[in-house]
Amino acid sequence: MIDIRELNKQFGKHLILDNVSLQVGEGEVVSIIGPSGAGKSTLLRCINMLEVPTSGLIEIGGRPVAYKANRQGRLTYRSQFNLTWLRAEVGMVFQQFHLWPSKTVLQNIIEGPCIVKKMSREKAVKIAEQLLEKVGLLDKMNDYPAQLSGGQQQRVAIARALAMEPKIMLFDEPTSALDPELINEVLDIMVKLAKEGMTMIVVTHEMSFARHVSDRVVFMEKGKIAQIGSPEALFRSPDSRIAQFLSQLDHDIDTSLMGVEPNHSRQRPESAG
Amino acid sequence: MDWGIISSYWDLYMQGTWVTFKITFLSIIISTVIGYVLALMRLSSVAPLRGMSFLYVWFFRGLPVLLLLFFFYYTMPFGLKLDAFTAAIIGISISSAAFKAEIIRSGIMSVDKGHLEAAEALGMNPLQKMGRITIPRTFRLLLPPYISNSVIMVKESALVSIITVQDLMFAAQRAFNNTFKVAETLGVAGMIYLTVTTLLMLVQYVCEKKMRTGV
Repeated sequence: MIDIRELNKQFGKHLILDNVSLQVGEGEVVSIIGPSGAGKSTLLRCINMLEVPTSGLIEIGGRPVAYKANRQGRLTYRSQFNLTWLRAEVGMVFQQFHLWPSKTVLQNIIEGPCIVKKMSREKAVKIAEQLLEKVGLLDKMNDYPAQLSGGQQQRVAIARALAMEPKIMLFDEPTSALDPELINEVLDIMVKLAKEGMTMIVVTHEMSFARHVSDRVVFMEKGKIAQIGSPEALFRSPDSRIAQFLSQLDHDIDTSLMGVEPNHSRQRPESAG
Repeated sequence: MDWGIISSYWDLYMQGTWVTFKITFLSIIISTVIGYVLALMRLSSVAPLRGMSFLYVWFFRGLPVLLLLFFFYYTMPFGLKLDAFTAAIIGISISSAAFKAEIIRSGIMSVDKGHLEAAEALGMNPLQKMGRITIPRTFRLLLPPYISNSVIMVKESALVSIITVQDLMFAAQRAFNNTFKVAETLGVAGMIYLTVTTLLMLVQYVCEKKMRTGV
């Protein structure tokens, strides 16, 4: 379904992606984990050309993605017109949701089908209602994004991407901007999607999702795919870098620091007076 | 004070107000279109377009409107002769477009990149992105400076009386010259100008209230 070969991405002298190759089959769920700055998001964004690779080949469903960058390193005007097929097949969900604030939930969802696919409004609304039912937000249809919680906004964003009926869904740290108690409502929908057989690539820090939902896990470091394999194999990997990365995700608080903070804040008003 | 004299000039005032309104309204529309094009040129990836836009803004923002009005009325090149009304609209539009270009450019630049990426990820082409996301968004962001600029245009339009356009200011001057009653003749014109600019501020108030839902 997705075939990435020898992908490179360079920002000035920085090599963000270093010869990355990855194949993802139809219906497969792949999680990408790794330390920040490893190039996870860049890899994801290269797949639907929000980021233009410096070199390398990407094929979606057997069709090669032809891209050309202008001097600013962005997609040329012409490529943007030519790649609408790619965007229709590949849906994307962002960390910061990026809902359009001046449109209602319903308007956010039908925008893609109506404008890009030229679908009739009635048909698009029908699809939107089904999707809102699926993400459990049918009653919020006429609300504005600002009136929703982060979790609800992200669920709307997922519905908006699904409204284009994509074959592949990309998730760029979909729960990283959410309060902890809101994470599960988003993950639940992603699990539902995975079970329905959607091809998914998920950049995530949610290790339980990576472990229990994905078919394969990719561990990236310094722009390279350091390891790739089944969740069991990867999470039990003897590789010290992976073990170290995983241990850093446990938020241990350094207790030696406690006791300093309260004293410090108590002194402040005195010195100010 | 003798407000009675105004009644004999009332028709002149109303005709003048209508001319002032027409000039301002048409100039706002024309300068918005030119300003938007200039802003897009300035933000384009094509260097010559950026350069042309920069030169335009530099040149016309730096010249007095009155000078431009005289130029278009008296000294058009190639023996072209414009009537006063047309020259007035062209002069004011061209000058204001330079200011609007800068306002609009700052608005386009402050459109959230994420909103555009979301549109792009859904498969919108550059034109659809512009029409569906950028332009509606900039109108929201730009409303206050934009209305300010339009208020300035209403006041600038008083200059066209100097090139013989019979606008509100022209009417006031005519009435003044015939009666030598400063307070009455100019006072009435002032009140009409204030009414027009107040209307513009009301437009801003209503729009802002309507748009409050989505910040």
